[in-house]
Amino acid sequence: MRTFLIRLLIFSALFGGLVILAAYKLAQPGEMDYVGGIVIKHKRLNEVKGPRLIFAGGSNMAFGLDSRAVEVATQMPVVNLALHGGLGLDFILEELKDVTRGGDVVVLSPEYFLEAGRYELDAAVAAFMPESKKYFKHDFYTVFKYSIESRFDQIGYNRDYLMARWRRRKSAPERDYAAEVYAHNAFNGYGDVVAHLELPAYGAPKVPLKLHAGYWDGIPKINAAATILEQRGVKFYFVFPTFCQSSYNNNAATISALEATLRKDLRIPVISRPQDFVYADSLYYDSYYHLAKTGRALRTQQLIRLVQPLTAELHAQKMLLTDKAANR
Amino acid sequence: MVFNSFEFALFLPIVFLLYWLVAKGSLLFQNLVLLAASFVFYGMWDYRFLFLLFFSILLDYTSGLQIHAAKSPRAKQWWLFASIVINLGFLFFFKYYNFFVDSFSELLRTFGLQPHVWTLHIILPVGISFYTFHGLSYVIDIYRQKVTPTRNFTNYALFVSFFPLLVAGPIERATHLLPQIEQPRRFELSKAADGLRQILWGLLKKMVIADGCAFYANQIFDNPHAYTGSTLVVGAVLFAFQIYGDFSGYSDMALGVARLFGFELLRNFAYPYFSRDIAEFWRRWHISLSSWFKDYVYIPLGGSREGRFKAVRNTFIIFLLSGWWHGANWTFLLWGGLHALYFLPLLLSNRNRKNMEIVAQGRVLPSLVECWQMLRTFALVTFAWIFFRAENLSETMVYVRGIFSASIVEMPVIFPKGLLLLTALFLLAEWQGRAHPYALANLDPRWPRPARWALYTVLLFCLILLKSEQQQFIYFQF
Repeated sequence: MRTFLIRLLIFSALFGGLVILAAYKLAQPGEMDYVGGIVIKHKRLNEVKGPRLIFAGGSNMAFGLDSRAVEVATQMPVVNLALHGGLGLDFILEELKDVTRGGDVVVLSPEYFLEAGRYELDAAVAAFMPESKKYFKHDFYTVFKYSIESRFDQIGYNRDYLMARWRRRKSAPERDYAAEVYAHNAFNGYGDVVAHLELPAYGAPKVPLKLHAGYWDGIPKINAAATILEQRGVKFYFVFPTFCQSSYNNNAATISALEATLRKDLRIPVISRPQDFVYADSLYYDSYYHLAKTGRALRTQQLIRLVQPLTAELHAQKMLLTDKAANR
Repeated sequence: MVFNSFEFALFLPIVFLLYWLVAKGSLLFQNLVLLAASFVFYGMWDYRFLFLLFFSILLDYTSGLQIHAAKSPRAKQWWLFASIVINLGFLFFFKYYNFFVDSFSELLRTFGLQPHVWTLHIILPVGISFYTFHGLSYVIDIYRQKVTPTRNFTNYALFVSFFPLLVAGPIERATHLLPQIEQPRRFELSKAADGLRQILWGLLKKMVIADGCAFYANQIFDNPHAYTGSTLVVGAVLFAFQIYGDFSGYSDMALGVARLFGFELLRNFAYPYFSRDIAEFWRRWHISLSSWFKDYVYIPLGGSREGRFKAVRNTFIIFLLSGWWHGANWTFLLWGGLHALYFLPLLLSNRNRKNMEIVAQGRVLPSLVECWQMLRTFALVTFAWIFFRAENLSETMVYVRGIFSASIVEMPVIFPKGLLLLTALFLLAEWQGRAHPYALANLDPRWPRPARWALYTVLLFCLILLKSEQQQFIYFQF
């Protein structure tokens, strides 16, 4: 027994040492830098003094919205707070609870069946904006687990980085589009991702996504947040995410069932139908949810049609944008 | 908790140290440690089902004692009958209730009737098919006087709930495992080291091969109408390796973990894809289930010794039951039926026990004939996996029609070269170790320790670098 344990300890120590060496941080995935966009979004939030039209959710909204066009159409200052679905619905809702104030209009657009956040992304956001730590709750065990697993993940990132360098060693240096788009400076002042707009679009992935239907625990979470926002005088609405045509067709029944459940159980108005934001696969930049330039313009027009009646109501109540220039 | 999880990586050393250091020298204490660990392991899935597991244990423990104590054959039969009915009743309720209700109402609708059906939202308790079969084999063996029932409740509870085999087998027999539970166990360095090696090999099978194949196989099986025939063939082949890596990987881990605690579990896989015919395949695939059906269904029905008609009937019964055991879906039944059809020519021509030894025994390479036989068997098995994997009958038909279309000659849309190369290397590793219980089992005597440690390090780095997105173990749903 003793011999076994000693050998096991020696082997584990040697292997652990190799892991630590191999996990030396050479590179990290673009999304870890991309989430740094939160700083721009919060800057915009803080700059606007009066009521704001806030778009929240995952990257479908970050990539698929022209906030300026919405602002012009609605005459209300717009903030695109949507960042990354991987942060989790809890993060998105906690952030909304923290930043909204009376008079704000919030349009939430999470990706289908959005789940709990990934700790590594939450931690990456916190590295850019330490105050965001209050938006996620991870217990001691999760943090401990991450501290070990992140070493293994880092070895994978290093492998990808070294392989990419090895592949490029003989060819002329190419422009790294992904590094431009998935970066903290890919956003405009409103919080929209704009770095991809003039780049060639890859289209949605060839293999349609299959959503795994089931109970979505996002509904009670949204309802709980709605209670708080409502008490604060915030108007809170739900819209479906954009989704490429092939994946929508592949999941039409599931999405239809989800829509019925949301209309029945959500305490906030659902102001769109899933079909409203379904576009041809070619209009997507690189995923099932990320729109390219033309798709983004189409979605923005559709969103304007949906939110204009809501903001018009506010205008009628004299919650007008009085000094647009000052608010910018 | 699953074997390839962070939680299990913490759980296993704690139980190991408690078992060998704290409970050292006391058989009762060691068994209690394992029993408690097994209940924690199972409770982490869903603690509510611990009561069901406990009830199942209590039922079979009591039935076993009553059968043994009964004076008249009639009383013995009554207790056996009660145990079988209650065990299968639970299995039926949790696994098949909604299927029967749905199928029956569907049938009524075809006759123009509009039945008011009452289905329930039933969650399938993980491992129910496995522990029910454990319990059944125990009471049947007592009835047949092959086993004397244990009076020690802890030992019996551990026999049913021993955590390495609780949720996905191997399906153990009382004749094999109970004596090991009742005997004091001594730590053996070579056995423990072998256990760790088998766990490592199982992890590679699951996390690299099975999960890697699952990524593509899921895409293809989720959208069979969207792909060319050739891509569907690739999907079926990838699923064949997914399910093999998944289930045999799990079994390797289960056997390895049990060996760490001094137990030898029944072997569940013996290189099934190197089989030369379907009969050999079934002697090498999910061995503990096949032998269970053989011993408790096929032979009591008369096996192949009571004429051709009965042999054919019995063959169909066990293959259909085997399909049925996997789940409440017509696809599983068809899968079983297809295998029965494959098996029939061998049975009728008395060639079903032709290939008893591993292929190319004592040789490095197989002959051309053996290659052809292995390829043919693999193709038949892979075709049957389509029925097993598809969601329902209509998707199965879409898939099969897609394969037998003109587009089979087109280049596949999905063809993961790296993964297929990795799978080929994996098959080579399995080939070199095919005479042993698992591919790495023959390392010890031949390699010096530094070389072995270097190999383990390489394999562990392969796990880190080549692992795919974690997928649920397929057999947990059964």
